[in-house]
Amino acid sequence: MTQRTLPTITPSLSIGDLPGFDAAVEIDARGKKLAKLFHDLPDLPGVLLTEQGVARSAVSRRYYLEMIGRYCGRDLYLPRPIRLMMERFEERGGALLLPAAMGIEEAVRCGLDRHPDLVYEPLVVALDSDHAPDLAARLVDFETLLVADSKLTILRNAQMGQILDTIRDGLLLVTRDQVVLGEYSRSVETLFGTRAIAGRRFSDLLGDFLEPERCELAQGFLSTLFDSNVIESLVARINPLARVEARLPATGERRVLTFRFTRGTQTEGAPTVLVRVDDVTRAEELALAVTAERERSERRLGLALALVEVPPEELAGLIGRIDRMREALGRGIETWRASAPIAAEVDTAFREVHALKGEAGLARFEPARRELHALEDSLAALRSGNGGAEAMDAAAKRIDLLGALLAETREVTAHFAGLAGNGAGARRDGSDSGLLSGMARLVAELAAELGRPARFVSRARETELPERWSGLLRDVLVQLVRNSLAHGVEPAEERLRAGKPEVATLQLALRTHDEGWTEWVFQDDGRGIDWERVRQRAEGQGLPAGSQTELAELLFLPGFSTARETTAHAGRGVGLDLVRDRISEAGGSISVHSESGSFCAFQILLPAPVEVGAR
Amino acid sequence: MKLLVVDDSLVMRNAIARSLEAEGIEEVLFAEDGERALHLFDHHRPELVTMDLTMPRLDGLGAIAAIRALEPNATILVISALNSHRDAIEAVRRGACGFLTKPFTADEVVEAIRLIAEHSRRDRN
Repeated sequence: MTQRTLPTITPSLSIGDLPGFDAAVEIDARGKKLAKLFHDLPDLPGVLLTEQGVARSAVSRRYYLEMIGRYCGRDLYLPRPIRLMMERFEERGGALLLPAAMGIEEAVRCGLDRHPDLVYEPLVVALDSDHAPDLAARLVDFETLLVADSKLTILRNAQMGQILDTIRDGLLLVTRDQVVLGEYSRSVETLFGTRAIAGRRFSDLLGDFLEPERCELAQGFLSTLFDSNVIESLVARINPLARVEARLPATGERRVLTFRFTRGTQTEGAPTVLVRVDDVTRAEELALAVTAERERSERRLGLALALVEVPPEELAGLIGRIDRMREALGRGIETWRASAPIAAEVDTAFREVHALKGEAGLARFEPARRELHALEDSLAALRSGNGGAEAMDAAAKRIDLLGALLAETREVTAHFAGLAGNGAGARRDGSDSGLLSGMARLVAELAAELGRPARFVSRARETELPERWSGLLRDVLVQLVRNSLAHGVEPAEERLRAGKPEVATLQLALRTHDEGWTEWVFQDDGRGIDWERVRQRAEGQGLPAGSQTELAELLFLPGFSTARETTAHAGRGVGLDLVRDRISEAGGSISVHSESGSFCAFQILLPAPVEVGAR
Repeated sequence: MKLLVVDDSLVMRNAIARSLEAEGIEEVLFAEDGERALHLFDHHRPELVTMDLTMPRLDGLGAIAAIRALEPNATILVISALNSHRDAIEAVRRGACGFLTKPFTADEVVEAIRLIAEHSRRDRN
């Protein structure tokens, strides 16, 4: 049986799929039987040799003719068992038996690894029952295999070409001499804005759109990747092209590119480095936009937190006064620009700003106080007369910033009013009766604003609150609630992942001790304090960081974690120094207990008031 | 394994050594500058050197070159701030096998040491 046509070539083709020959003869039969087979079937390239029906070896027409063609070959081999004829063959390694599932390329490799005399001998392919139930093996001509392999290579190259033409990643290969090879993806040309890249030196290519110094660094870096002493992943951090801003030569277009370098396999041919180029211009723009949006919402949040304590009616009036001043001053600056600042007018404006700053401070409208303070400084520069146009610009800029702050404040307060239906934030209404419900409201509002579901639970009743400390209690609680929601309570998804209830609980408990102390415990079930971060921070600042008690003390230090970045890292610390100051003044103490990941509790001890609320 | 930690900061030296406590290091040597590093390397021939770049007397670049001149197969890992790409690349060209940037985490140091061990095992085979 002969089947000459090759099946459709696909990369997954195995040698079992190739056409083959199943003529077989027992190895102990006489040579004459072999001669008859080769004579009767002139296209047969070889015959399987079996031993009790099991394929053991094979004999090719070529080898048979070689043996028969020897001096007295016919007389010697034809009357005797075929086994005798095969001795020389077996000495040089014998037949190659391969499993049917083996891929074409691997089979070619095996075939070529044989003794040079046997390189073109056919292969014996051991079949499985899927192929032929009544047949154990088949003979595959090595030429058939080579043809299949060539076709596969052509297919692969065509596919590679297609891939390189269509993929959007910029891929190119660089040799040890830093020359770019011909196989690169079409997108490289688009990314670099250059054509005909093959054969150019990599650093010259970069020179089309990068400054010479950077190209030189790239060349040095690339050379390290060809040094076998160097560990690829351990030099990734010093890649000078990890992110580069390029100006395309043709269009002058700005582009942000990232380059990644990977060593090629060195089993075949000369070593190469694969360079992957990505255009991240758009992604970066998006990331910047996202960051800007996040900063905006963080600023709004900061503002919301700052406004919590400002009585809404005071706030409305204050905003109005600041706004009027701002408009007047803006017009004033324009006229001063035209001529020169009039000392008396600047002086008046300065005093007005100063007064408003004081008001903002009294109302605890901290962002406005800071902004007014900066404006005051720029007016002081104008007043001293050494400012000129620059000082005028600076003052105008401060006025714009103040305007932005006021606009944002209005937005935030409107938002709060919408949420709570009763003005901005928790009110200080002067009576203690609403303190706990006020806290519940504050928690609900802040939680909504932050998108972190939380509820306030009080284990104390309103009437139990010691009247003497009610002001202190409110101030401290406001601070701790803010702290908790801004830093302690995780977003809902994170809580669910950690196996916690979606809605966080902020809890207040109050106990009066016989020894004359009142104990309050404020606790949340958020992520707790990351003690390791606190320790690192402490070590970074050269502060004592031994026991957890020592670390806990650090949280109350002024300046330990006042910056936003710091609080985000340490997880806690907004104004805890102020809280401690207030409590110390009242003769009490505050301490913090926390387990990372599960809770954070503040314990406050105060001398029990002589007159306690009704029980 | 014998380790030589070269850094002019005591905090850094300790941090690096602490990171590697569980990594089968039998002996740790410390040097606070390149000259001392060279001296210790010559006497003890450690299997691994971690090297800072900015140091008094002999700096990291000089020390790498000098150590590789003494022992062409010395394994040196730079652990330094990435102040200049030029110096960083130069350090690798002079014979460092990798560059770990400060600040680093203990995990990063351990991972780097494992990669180095794997790399030298493959080299021997």
